[in-house]
Amino acid sequence: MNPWILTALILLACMVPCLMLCARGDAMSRLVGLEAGSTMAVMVLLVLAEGYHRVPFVDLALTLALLTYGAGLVFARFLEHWL
Amino acid sequence: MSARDVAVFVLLGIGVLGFLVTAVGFLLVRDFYEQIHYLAPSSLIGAVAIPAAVVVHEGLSQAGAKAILIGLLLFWANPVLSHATLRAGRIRRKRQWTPTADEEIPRAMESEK
Repeated sequence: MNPWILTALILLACMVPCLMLCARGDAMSRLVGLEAGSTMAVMVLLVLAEGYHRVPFVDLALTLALLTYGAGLVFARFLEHWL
Repeated sequence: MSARDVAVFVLLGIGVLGFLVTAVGFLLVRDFYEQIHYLAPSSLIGAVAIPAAVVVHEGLSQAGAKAILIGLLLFWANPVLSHATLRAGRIRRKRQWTPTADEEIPRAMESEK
């Protein structure tokens, strides 16, 4: 196991509190959990691509980072006005 | 073990530490406003240190350039998302963004005069 895979495993463990927040919190806490979990998912994809020497898979992390930003803003806007 | 490997280990450790602070913080605090504070260590420390480790490991190759993009994007997005989330939460609770009539806003600059 190289350090990249180990880092990915630790980051996956760090996602558990985010999932708990998404499952049990109120609407705004769930959004906070989603944003933190998305950041962790981006990093997991990045270190897995590096750990398995699959450079093209870094695109997945980059795409998820872009989508995370848009999704967070859209969720916040909807929770602010309509949900 | 070369100096580059040591730098990668250190940067990965710093990054993991940032994410651990966020995870433990979420377990400890219950208030939404406090939870938002714990977004920062993951996005500002973790999401910069881990791409930096990739850049140190790969150099300025394709993966390194994309890692820089990811780090910059997450570093820039966190304050924007935090503000948008905080604003949404306040409007949901108070029904308005501006201070309500019964709220006392401390004005430090005026009190110092």
